[in-house]
Amino acid sequence: MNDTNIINDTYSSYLSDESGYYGHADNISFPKDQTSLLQIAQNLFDEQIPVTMQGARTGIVGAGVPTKGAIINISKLNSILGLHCENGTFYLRVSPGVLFSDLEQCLQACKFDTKEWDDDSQAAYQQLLEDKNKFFIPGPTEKTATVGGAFAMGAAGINAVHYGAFQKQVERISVKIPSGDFWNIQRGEFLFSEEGCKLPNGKFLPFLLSENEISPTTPFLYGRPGMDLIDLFAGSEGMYGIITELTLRLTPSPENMWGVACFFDSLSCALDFIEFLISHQYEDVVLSAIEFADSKALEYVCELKKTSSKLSDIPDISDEIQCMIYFELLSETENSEATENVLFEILSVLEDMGVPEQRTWAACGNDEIERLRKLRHAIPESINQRISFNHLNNPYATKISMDFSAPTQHFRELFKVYYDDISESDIPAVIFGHILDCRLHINFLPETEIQTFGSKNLLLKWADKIKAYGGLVCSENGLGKTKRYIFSNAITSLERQLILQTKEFFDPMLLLNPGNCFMEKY
Amino acid sequence: MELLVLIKQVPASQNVETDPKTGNLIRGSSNVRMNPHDLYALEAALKLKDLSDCRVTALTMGPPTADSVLIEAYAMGVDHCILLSDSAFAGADVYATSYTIAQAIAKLHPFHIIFCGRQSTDGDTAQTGPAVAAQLKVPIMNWVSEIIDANDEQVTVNQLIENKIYTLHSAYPCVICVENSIGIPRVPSLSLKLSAKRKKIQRMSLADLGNADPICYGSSGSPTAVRDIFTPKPQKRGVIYSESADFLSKKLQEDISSFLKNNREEQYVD
Repeated sequence: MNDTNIINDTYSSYLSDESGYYGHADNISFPKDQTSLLQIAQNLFDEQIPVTMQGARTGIVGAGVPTKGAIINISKLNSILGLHCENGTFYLRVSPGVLFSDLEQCLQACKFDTKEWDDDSQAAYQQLLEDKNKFFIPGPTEKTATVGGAFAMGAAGINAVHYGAFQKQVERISVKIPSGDFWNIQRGEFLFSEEGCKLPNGKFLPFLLSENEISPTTPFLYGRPGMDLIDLFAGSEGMYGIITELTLRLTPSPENMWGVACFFDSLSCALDFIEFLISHQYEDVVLSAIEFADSKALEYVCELKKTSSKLSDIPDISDEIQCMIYFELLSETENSEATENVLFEILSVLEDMGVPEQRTWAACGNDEIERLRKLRHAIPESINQRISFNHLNNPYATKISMDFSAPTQHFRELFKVYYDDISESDIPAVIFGHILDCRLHINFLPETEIQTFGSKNLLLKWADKIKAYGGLVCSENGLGKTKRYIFSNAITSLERQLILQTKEFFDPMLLLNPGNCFMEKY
Repeated sequence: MELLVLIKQVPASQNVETDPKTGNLIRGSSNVRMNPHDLYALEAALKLKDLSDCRVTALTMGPPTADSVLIEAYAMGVDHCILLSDSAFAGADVYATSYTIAQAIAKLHPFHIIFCGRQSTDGDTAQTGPAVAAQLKVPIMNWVSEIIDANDEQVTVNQLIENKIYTLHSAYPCVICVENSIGIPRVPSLSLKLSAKRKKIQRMSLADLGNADPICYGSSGSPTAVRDIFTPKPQKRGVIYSESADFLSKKLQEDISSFLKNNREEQYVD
């Protein structure tokens, strides 16, 4: 088999990812183009060998970590294949292994390697060069992630409330199904009706639950009326098919964009500030992100900063800080005055709250904002570093985490529940994440078996609360292997049956990404 | 105490084009930023301002669009900004640049310390700071990693050369070129960032300098002729060996011997 390697010491790092979860596999392939990817996949399906799809291994739930069989790593499938323009909108065709950082660099400089592009793509490129706008693709904050990985995991990013999750930027996918089919799916072409969804091969994926049996709190692992077939594959953690190509819609960069980090010495003051932010709406100016990080999160980032060169330009953060609120404002108007007026109003609120001037960090434009986003994005990495460190001395040290979401208006109640329960349990914990939609990442860092058990119980308790609020028990990052236990507990048996039926419909031999979302059998 | 910081606007990308005739960088108005090393010079001056009664001025020489780096300097907390700009200054090498800056400084009020970054990311010579000191005939302290004290009489700094630290003292005025270890540049506060654009930038041109003869400035005042600027292409690729430890140790020994031999020969050839 081409590009296939037996797992030995050289490739042992591919048995894990940023989640720290370790697995097992016999061999690994690094296809360099779609033809080779399809050939390798078909051979594995023919031989009924389980296969785990793997991106840049930036995932934090172990979805790309194999449990058996083979790995197909897409990191060498990293070409930007072409461009087209339709009704004034540009679309970029990419291989799944392209990194967001590479896409961003190309789009910022408007410079692509066009040697292999066809005439239509070359013509569209000329149009792009002449366009007065700059473009970007809204995606996850983790820039070293692959687009294929982000699509498969339903990654969202900090501006998801404004731009939609990354999957909403995907206009077309090519997907290899374990049954042997290879489909091109255009957004809008295959939609779920009340009965189910017609598929590109003419078959029908039946819709097995009536609408009132569907819980709105379950991630989209099965179809529901109005849903696009593309969105069934998005966030399915590679369980239904192998994405071999994606076409991404380019979004014009906003004319004015600001990011501001505010550091508070009390949580209640920070919550008042959040209340102010979400209760105000401004003409021409959009609040596209509000992020939260508690004192532990900031403490771990400061620790990571000592050894990480990529954080070398982040100034020190005082020990007195209890939490950080980071928000972004954007405006499509050429005149920056509207945005600045809103910021002056926010500044006056901060001054009234007694937040000292030097406890706000402001950035304007993409490059400057990236510096602040780095700080935000370093948080999960810093937590993982702390876990690895703890684990050296204590085999029980681990991370138990979840990313719930709920309507934004419940943020105060949720903060109270989280912090009251954490305080009572005495289990080390870190909270950070997105305030809009209450997409907070709750991370327990238990150090004993009892604390591990207690962490899981609290997450299960909170999952009930989240469902009562009409939220999602898993809003992004996926379930993979490390969060599947809570998912199994949080869904109804009917929902579980439907997801299994969907899985078996596409992958009857259960060969793709075994272990993701469900227990090992699946 | 009066502090001056010399800053520069540079291309944001390393993939810059050069004029095939003059060898000069083609500086477009888009995709530019403040020379990253100058942020550390600003930070060094602003730290002194945090501790004592200092007034910090930032000066840049460049096209009119270079005022964006001065707005950034205002956002970081400097008190006054000066843009030194004239078509006569275009195409200046290190000598002409330092002469122009020195002429401008001579026209301003006296400064105690003139701060510079280690080098710029476009010219990469690390010579402008020392050259300004030479033009002004004042002491220069390079590779400064820490300002220990700045009192009414003198400034005391730590200088990092290789792995050794030397403590130096200088009377005023003097030029200090800082290393990036001097301190992480601050992120502007919201208040300063919002007010920066509204602050006034002082503009100086050839007519404002003591010597207004254009022959002394820009490309005509520059003894250097740049033929080309390019990034060397990487010649070697990494190799992954999966053989036994014995094989690897022998292979490593051979490769190191071969590298040392070739390297030595190259030195003799040069």
